[in-house]
This record gives sequence, C-alpha cells and structure tokens, in this order.
Amino acid sequence: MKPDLKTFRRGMKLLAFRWIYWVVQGLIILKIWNHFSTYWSVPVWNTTYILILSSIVGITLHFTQKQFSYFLGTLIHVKNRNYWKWEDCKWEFYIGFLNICTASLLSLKLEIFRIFSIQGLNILGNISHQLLCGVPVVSHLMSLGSQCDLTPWSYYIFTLDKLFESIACAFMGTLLAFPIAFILAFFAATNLTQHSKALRLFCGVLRFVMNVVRSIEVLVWGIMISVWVGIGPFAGMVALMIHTIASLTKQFAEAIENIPNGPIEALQTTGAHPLIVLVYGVIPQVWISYVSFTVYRWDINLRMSTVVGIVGGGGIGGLLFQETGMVHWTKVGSLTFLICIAVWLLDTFSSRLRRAIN
Amino acid sequence: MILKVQDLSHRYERRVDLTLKNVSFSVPPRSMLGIIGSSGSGKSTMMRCINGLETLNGGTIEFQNEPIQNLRGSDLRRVRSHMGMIFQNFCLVPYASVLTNVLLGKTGIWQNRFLGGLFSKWPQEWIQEAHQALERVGLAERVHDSVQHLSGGQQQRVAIARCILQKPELLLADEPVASLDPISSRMVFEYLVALNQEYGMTVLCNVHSLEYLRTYFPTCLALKKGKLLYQGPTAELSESMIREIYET
Repeated sequence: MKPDLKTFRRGMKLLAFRWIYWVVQGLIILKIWNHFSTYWSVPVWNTTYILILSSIVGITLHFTQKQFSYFLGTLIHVKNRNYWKWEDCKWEFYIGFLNICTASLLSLKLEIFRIFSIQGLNILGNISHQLLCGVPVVSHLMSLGSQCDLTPWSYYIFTLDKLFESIACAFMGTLLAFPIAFILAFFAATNLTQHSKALRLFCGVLRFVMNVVRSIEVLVWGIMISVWVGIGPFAGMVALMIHTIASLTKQFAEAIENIPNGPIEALQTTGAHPLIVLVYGVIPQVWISYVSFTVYRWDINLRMSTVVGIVGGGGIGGLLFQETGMVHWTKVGSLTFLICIAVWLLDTFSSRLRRAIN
Repeated sequence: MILKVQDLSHRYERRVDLTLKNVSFSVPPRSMLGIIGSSGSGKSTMMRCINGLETLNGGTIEFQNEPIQNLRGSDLRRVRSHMGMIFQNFCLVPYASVLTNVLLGKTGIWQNRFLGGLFSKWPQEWIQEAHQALERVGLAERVHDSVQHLSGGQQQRVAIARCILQKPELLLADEPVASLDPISSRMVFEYLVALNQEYGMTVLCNVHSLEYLRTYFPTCLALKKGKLLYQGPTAELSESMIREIYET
C-alpha cells in the first residue's frame, strides 16, 4: 500500500499535538510536585528533564498505539478512517483531566479554617451593620438611626443623576457596539467564510483579535480609555463599547454557525447573489437571537458600568469608589441599594423583552 | 438532451470510498425521471453535484449543452437560476412569511444587480405571480402566515410554489415526500407532474417508494453504492433487478 502525503501530514499533526499535550501535562505534574515538596522543590534543570521525559512519554504513546499507521500514511487504505478515535486516547484524557483538576485545586490555596476566624467575622459584622444603615426602609424599620447616621434623602436625589449617567453609559455602549458587531459577525462565522481562502484568513485574524479584546477586562479597558480621552462617563461608554463589540461579534458569529444550512442552500440553488443569500437566508434566521443577545449584553453592561466608574468611567461607580475610599459605609450601603434597585428593574424589563421577542 | 452526465465521480472530504463512481446518463427535455436506490447509494449527492452544491472528483456535467462542472461565481449562479431544487426537509426560511419564501424563487434574477435587490421592494408583478402560484398549490389563504405554522405537506407545497416562480428548465427534487403522509405525498407528486406538463419542466426526482415511481415516473434510473445499475423505462424494471438494487 502506498503512503499518501495528506495522511502523512495528518499523522505529523497528531504527533505534534500529542507531544505538546504531554509537555503541558509534564509541567502540571511538576507544579503539583513542587507544591507538596516545599523543602525539595525541583530546580530549573529538572524542568528540562521533565520536558524531555514528557516528550518521550508522548512520542512513545504515539507510536505504540494505532497512530503509528497514520505516521506511515497507510491506515487510510486499511481502515477507511483518518480521524482520532476516542478509544485510542481516552486514558490520556482521563489522566490529563485529573492532573489539571489537582493542580487547579492546589493553586487556589484552600484555607477553609479562615472562614471561621472570629476577628474576621467581627469586622464583617461591623461593616454589614453600617451598610444596612444606608438602606432606607430597612434602617427605619429596624430603628438603626440611634446607632449610626442615616443617609439624608437629598443624597439620593443627588445620586439619581449619577445613576442615570451609568444607565446611559451602558445603553449607548451597547447601542453603538451593535451595528459594528453585526457586520463583523458575518466575517467571523466559519460557515460563511469557508469558501474563500482570503475570507478564511480574515476570519481567523478577526477571531484572534476579538478574543484578545474580550480577554482584556472592561476594568482594564476603562483605565486605558480614561487615560486616552480623560476621566468621565464618555471613557466608560467607550470601554464598554469595545468589550461589547468583541463579545457580541463572538455571540453573533456563533448564532450564524448554528443556523441550519438548508435555507441558505435553497437560496443558492435559485442562483441568488451571496449578499441576497445573506439578507434573505441568514439574517431572518438569526435576528431574534441577535436582539436577545444584545438586550442581555445591555443587562451585563449596566452592572459593569458601575465597575467601570471605579476606574474613572464616571457614573455611580465613581461615587461608590469615592465613598468607599472615605470609609462612609452608610453611604456605600445606600449607593449599593440604589444600584440593586436599578439592576433589578432593568433586569426585569430586559428579561420580559427577551421573552416577548422569543 | 437537457442534462448529460458523463463519468461522474464524487468523494466526500475525509472519506475514502467514492460516493459516486463513474455515473453516466442523459435526460431528454420535458421528461420525468425517477431515481431509486437504497439509503446511502448516492442519490442525494448526485442531485447536489448537478446543482453545484458539491465539487466533483471527476467527470463532466452538461446542462443545455454547456459544461457546468467547473463553473464558479456569476456563471454558476446564472446556470442555477435555470435549475430549481426541492429538498427533503423543505429548507424554507424560518420566521419569514409564506409569501416571502415563495418570492425568494425570483432572487436569481437579481444576481447581477444585488444592491437593487437589497434595497428595493418586491415588484408588484412578482407578488401577483406569487399569489397565483400559492393559489395553484392550494395555499392562497395562508399567504401571510409564518412558514413554521404550516404542516410538512404545506411547507413542501410552498417550496413547489417557489419553484413555480423560479420557472426553471430542470427541477431537482431530493426525496420531496420522505417525511410526508401518503395523502400529502400524492399531492406533492401530482404537483410535480403538473410542473412537468404545464410549465414544461424536466423533473429529476429521488423516490423511495416503488409505488410512486411506477405511478408518476415513466423512466427511471437506479443507483447502488454509487454505481449506476439501471436506466430505462420504469415498466421494464424487473423484480430481480429491484431485489438487486435494494439488497445489501
């Protein structure tokens, strides 16, 4: 049987993947080892040793199992399959999974006894009491006025303006992100870009960029943008918008990838232009999910806008940060209460809207 | 001949077996041709190859004396606008109305001026045509309903109405009654016969039931494991040949 180049290349890809997998597993095992042996941690030269060892394990496993035939490029003719079979690699997966779980648990440094610390509980109790003083109805009902200063009503009126700023920031951030994400999603969906090499490349680059943008937290974007355009709600809005573009593009692209191909093919068979196929075959199938995702994103942005405010994005978050810095726990309690009410109201509204759309 | 297939071969990506092996046949204009074969024999793949939804691994396809196997872009779209297709699972656009789905049969006409198509309304004469087509398939009163609210049989009739609007010379029907009850199935086949007789369309149809094949298709071809086993009049299809087609 003649080995063919395509299968050989695939065999090499599998080998490379297996090698990387076992190198990563080796490093994780090293981390677990270092955790337990505090007095005898593995020095740097041993890391190299582990790398070599895990490479040997990976490559040996590769060649001792059926993958060897892939390497020769002959199995395709024998077994009529050229994909990786679950039975061939399930134990590797189980060991790897157990490894990762153990390393994750250890790196969290679980110190359960700290939860029961009396000193910590006392401080928490004091702060909670003052926070509760800031909640209007509760503090009046429990007659907490004698124990701490209640927030004056005029303060709530002052904060309402800031609250509106936050809501507007979230609203505009989402609204402006929508059209940009709407267009980008078509280029980020693999099922729409698979027919052209250039589009496939663009899709890959776009997905990578969007993943990078998304993995940078809104908080970091807030800092970066407020340095750029100055502190204020505009910076918060831009930060939210950038993060929302990346998130919505991903969600929209996934919505496109999940639609059935049938209606698209049916339109193609009538000889319709690709743009017509997009407008009449793709958009009608995804617009409901689009609206639903956008409303949900607005919901998230509203909560995030308070956080962005902390790093200079304006709105109620900035005020919250100010009061926390001055240790005005009662006012912090009042602000938190207001944020809760706003989020609850808008959450109810958005979930009803989403239900109505669906 | 409206369609001439010569040595057609096809293999799906990451598969070793050929789905179609050197299939050759030709179809005269205005004929009704039934295609039979067990599941996995390559009937649907052949339909998809003819329409350019799949890339061939070998062979040629001539539609109205023009080789079409290598066509791309606007050339492929031009040929496709003369070739209608009906699918097993209807493939209508969900959330859109019956009328919109029928009007989509006309989108091939917009192929070279798509911007006009995107921003203009549907022409009034097309809407009228769509109403007539829906009346023809007995769905005149469901014009503004969403297609999801229709039964399987009704959805397939919408797909037929879409083809009436497209007015193709060749109609490819890929198991159009596979998920329908006997009454709806008969209705669909009668509409296919009507398309053949009234509009002069050549109909190529994948059929699972021999009863329907004998009733509606004077000629047929049979596939087995990607190979052409029989082509000729349906009446001459012997019992031994049928056994050979369907035995595993």
